[in-house]
Amino acid sequence: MSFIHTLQAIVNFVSKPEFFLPLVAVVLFVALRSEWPWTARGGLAVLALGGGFFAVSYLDPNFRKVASAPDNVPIVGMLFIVGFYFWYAMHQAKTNDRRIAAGLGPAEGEDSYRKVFSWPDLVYIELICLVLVSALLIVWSILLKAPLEEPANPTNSPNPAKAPWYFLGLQEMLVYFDPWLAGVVLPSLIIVGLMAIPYIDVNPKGNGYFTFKERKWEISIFLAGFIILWVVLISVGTFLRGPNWNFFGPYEFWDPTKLEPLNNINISEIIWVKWFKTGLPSFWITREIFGIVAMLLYLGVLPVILSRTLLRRFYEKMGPVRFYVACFLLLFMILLPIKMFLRWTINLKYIVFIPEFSFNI
Amino acid sequence: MPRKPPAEPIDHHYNIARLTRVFAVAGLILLATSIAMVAADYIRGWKGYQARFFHWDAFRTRQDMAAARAKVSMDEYRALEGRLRGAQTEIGRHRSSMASLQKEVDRLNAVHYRNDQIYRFTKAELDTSRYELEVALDSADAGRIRAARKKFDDLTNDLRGNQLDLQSTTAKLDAAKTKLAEATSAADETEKKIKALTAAYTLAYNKLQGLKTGPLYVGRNAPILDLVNPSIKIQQVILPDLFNDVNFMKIPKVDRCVSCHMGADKSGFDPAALNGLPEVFWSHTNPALMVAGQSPHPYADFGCTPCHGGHDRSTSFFHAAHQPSSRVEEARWEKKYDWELDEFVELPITPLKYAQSGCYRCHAREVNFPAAPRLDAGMRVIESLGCWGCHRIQGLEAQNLPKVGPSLEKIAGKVSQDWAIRWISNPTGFRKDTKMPRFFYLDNFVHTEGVNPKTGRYRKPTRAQKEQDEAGRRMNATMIRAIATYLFDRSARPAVAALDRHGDPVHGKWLFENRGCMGCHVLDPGARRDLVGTYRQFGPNLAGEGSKTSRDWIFAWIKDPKAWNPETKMPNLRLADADALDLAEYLSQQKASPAFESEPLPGVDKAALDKVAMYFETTTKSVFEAKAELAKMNSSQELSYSGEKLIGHYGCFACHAIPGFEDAKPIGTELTEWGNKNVHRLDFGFIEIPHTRQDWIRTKLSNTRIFDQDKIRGWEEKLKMPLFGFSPEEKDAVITAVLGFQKEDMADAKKKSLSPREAAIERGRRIIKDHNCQGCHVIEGRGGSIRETMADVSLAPPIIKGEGAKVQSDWLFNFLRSPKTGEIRPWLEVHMPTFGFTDAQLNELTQYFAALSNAAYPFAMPSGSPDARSLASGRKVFEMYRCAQCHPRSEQELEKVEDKSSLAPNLEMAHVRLRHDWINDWISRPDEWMPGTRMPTNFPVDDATHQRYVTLALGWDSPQIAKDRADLERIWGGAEPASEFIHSVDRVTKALRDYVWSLGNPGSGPSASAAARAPAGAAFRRAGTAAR
Repeated sequence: MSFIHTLQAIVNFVSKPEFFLPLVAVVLFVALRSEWPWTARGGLAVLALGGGFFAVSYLDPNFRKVASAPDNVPIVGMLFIVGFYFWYAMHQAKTNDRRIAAGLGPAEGEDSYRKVFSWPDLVYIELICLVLVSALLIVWSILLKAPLEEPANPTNSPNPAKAPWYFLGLQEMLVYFDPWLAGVVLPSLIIVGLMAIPYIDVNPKGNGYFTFKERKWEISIFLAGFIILWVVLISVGTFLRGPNWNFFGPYEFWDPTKLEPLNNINISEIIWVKWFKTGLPSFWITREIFGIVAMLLYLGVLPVILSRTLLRRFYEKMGPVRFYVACFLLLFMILLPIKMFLRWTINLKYIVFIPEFSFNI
Repeated sequence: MPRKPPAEPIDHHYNIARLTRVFAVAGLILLATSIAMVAADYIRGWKGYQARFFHWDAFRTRQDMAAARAKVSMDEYRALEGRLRGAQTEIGRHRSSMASLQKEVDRLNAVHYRNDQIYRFTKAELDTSRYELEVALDSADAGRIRAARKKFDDLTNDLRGNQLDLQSTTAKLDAAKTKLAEATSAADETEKKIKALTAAYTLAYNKLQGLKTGPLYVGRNAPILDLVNPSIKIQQVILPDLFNDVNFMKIPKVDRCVSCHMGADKSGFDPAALNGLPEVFWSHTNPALMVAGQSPHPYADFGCTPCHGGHDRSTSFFHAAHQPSSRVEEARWEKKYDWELDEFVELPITPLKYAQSGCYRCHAREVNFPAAPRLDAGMRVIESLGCWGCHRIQGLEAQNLPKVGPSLEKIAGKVSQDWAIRWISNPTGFRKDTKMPRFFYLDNFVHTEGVNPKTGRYRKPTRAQKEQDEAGRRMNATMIRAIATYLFDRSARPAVAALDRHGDPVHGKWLFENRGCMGCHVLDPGARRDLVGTYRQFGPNLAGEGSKTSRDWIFAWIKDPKAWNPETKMPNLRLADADALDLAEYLSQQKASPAFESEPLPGVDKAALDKVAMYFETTTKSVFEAKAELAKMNSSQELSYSGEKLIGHYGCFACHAIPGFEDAKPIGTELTEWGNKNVHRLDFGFIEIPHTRQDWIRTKLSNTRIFDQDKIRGWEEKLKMPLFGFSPEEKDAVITAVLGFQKEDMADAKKKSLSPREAAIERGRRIIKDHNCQGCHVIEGRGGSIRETMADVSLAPPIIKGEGAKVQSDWLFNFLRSPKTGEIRPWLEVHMPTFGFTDAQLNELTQYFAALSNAAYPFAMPSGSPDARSLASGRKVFEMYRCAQCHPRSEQELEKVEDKSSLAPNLEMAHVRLRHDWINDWISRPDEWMPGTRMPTNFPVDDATHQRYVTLALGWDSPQIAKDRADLERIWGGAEPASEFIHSVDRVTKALRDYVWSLGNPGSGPSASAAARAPAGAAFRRAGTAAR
């Protein structure tokens, strides 16, 4: 009995965002670089691992309560579906990489010289999918009915009050960022960034076929943003955030009275109060000068430095406009894990804290 | 144009044959899921219930058919049938004449039709020509006018002729029809009679046809086809006045309970009559009160959920949020229906055990709930124990209840401080049935280890917990000391006169048991608290009284309770000094149990006292200031200070008037809308019980501090509710009441508003409840608890029934203000005490009685003086009936009566006390006015005629009463008038009334004013104690 409890305690511990996200990042990095996970056998092994984890965890009542809530079942499904498509795409990509290394063209090129009729070759498949998905939806709606809870009461909001799944990533970001940033600036940059990709991307490789080696950076950056900063954050928001948006491990009971200290400080407070031991200056520029300077350096000076040193290759390939746009977007994206890391280590609240304008970073 | 096949073979990306197989399979899967979808939509639990119900309904209808058929006398039926056959044969015999009559009618019909049409067409043409005439007149063309006028005149004449034709045809037709009807009248009438005779049977038969489950039934209820006109359908009632408050809107309730509970709104589905009828189909209990169309709560207006709770629109067992009444039922439901509570329904269905809680929402302004015994018991417990003192309940606040505990303003003059300390420490140790709860030495202070939920026993404490328990004990002891110190410091110390003589305790005991004390008090050290089953526990149990206070105090108290406490509910027995002394002697000899007396007095723990005092100081000051303040106090000042603050902390003033706390506010949670409280907001602590309101209350009442178990809390944060030691019945009753404290979510039309009469009745009931009149008297059928202590209940305080119609209102007013011993029933040992009502209360009481009996208020005196003959014959009848045998008119007559239990009120009081028109009504039918009364029914109801008759009139002609008959004949001037007189119930009773009215009445007419009326019963006025 206690063996299981120990296991559960380990899983609960590892699920904390400060361990979970770095762990996922490392696993992703290693997996992208290796071959075995993307083979059929490897894929089946990962599936068995994931499915087995779910099946065994389902025995725990707390896990079961969260995972089988009708709202959360599609997210569980999403994890498997995203996982499958990711695996399938990488499988194709690795296969193509091997073929390209062997001198053969990509697999998609095998029959691309032929023309076929859209009926039946395109539309029949779609029709069958239509029928099967309809059947699936009907069965799903019969078995998992939408829940009817109590009438909405403004004096009694549900705890936790969660956004729809597609916004849970942003709601998770709200833990670390000010609402203006997490709710407006970052989502806008995500959208703008995604729209900008076709214009920034100068890599001609990978048109019409899967490949990893030929588009290493592009794919890695995208996956870092999509898998880690989107899908994983959604899963954290769905399964690991409970009442009062406290963290709860997968096997922890969602106790609404759980209390954790939120003693977070700003950079200005660290420097002025803790280090210099003076009070905070009243004028906001003087007060936040360190954070402002840091941000300006980070977003303004760092790209220039990078263009001359680490990322010189890219600068030369993309040209200044594309490079600086891409660099800005990339740096802003990386700001999120940096801020999270600073929160977990030094309890950082805001780099720049300007309540006078309600602008905080 | 047919397409030519393509020139080259077509290349496919996929294997099309395989795709086709996959498509076929997918299609079959979709077909299966579509069928599953229709099935999932069609198969509903309630449909099965309705189908089963139709079987039961058919069964019952067949029973009704059989019963209806049995009721019909077969002889009568056959006779009617025979008559019908005979009539029909008659008709048959006159077939040819019938045929010609019919032919004539048909012919006239056709003529009538034609004439009617002609008339109508002519009229239409006339109207047209009138119009044309008006146009012509307007045009002023003479020729046109002439032509138009001619046409108009012609048509007018035609119409007149047609009208005459039509009317004559109509007359002829009616005559012919009448003739025809006459010929068949016998048959028609007989047919009608047969129909009336078999009406019930035919009705049942037709109903049975509708319930048949043939192919039509299957077809109309089949999937998809049931959109047209199913017989299995949702049964609902829409209640716009009773709404659900969904926080942004008020939506009308739509009750669909009857979709499964098909028998609930119908009558006759009784498990006794229909063996094996499932509970879900039972008719509602007590249909005269609930559900029936003529009841005060018809189903069409009230539905189900306003009283029972639950999710009204639901049609499933789960979503309606049914709750089981017991653990046994819960286990059964879990097994059979896979039941679990739908936690999202804010007001689940009240478990049937507590169903009466639904009454309170609308009837909160009423005082008693006779139709809902458990709710009534719950409210009695809540009112008597004073829950409302700590927990504000708006409905009770409006009734201005007096505080339930005695005033502590003069406590030092009554009890010793040692006694007070022992009492507070352990009230039930002194008095098992006390209403005072225990505040100290409860689990969250002295048993912090808590209780093992499975066994119910205390867990084994750790060393730290043992120390905590010890500290808790010391702190509680200190607290009690502090409170006692404050009370005795602030108490007034009025002197109690010292008595130099001793009383006779034996006589005192006799007085206690016979003077009427037992109407409000018990004297029994073993008595269990029972605030519902008896009215005798209104005042405290007097066992052990001698250990509590002194004989001299008891004497002073009994002589005049209001001198000690003007707010007391104890009335004044008007005892003579000697009697009061005897009683006081007797009561002061009742000592408490030795265990209580020898209980060691706890000491004061300085550390605990400082802790308490510091806490209260630091609520208003900083720590340094607090310490300085405390340094200034000596230990008794510190005790007094802490005591005062602790009284405020624990809310003692909720039940007791305490100096310094006159305006203090209740400290407990408000209960006014507790029934609507969100269950998830209740603190269940670490106690594992189902999360329902009733489980929470039950656990709380069983052990009020239990939700502190395993919590780390300073003493000042610990739960404060004291322990009442409820019995299971008391718990059920209180739960019923508290669950009923809900918001009044309904339109004004549905709110129960009291008519002026009802309001007068409620005000009276309040006074009666507050003064425990029902301890001695049976009022509105309840109470009279003193009767169970008396061997002969005819010597008990009278049953009050129909008092408003019986007595004169101003007499009642004066009587209640100051009752006088020995006026009405001088032989009774129980004496009605003086309550000291205010004028307002006296008015409310007299109005109450008048309203109850629907009597005129105030009483109007009769006008005119009685007939002299009536008076004389009344006296005669009074003699004949020997009324004086039970109604003695003087002491001498009283002495003569052997059987005291048959004595009846002094009739000389009648003209002062009774209503004029009531007297004869009473005399004529005492069995209806007061069933079980000893007054004989001299005018019984005759079985044959169902009318009352005069018993004296029987054997009017016999020789035994020849003398009386002669007297009456003399009075009335003849045998005839006398006989008429004696045979008339009305006249005889009125004569008796007139005579009785004249008794003791100097102006034996109605002109006497209240002041001029003689002080009646003078013959019976007793000055001293009963001579025994």
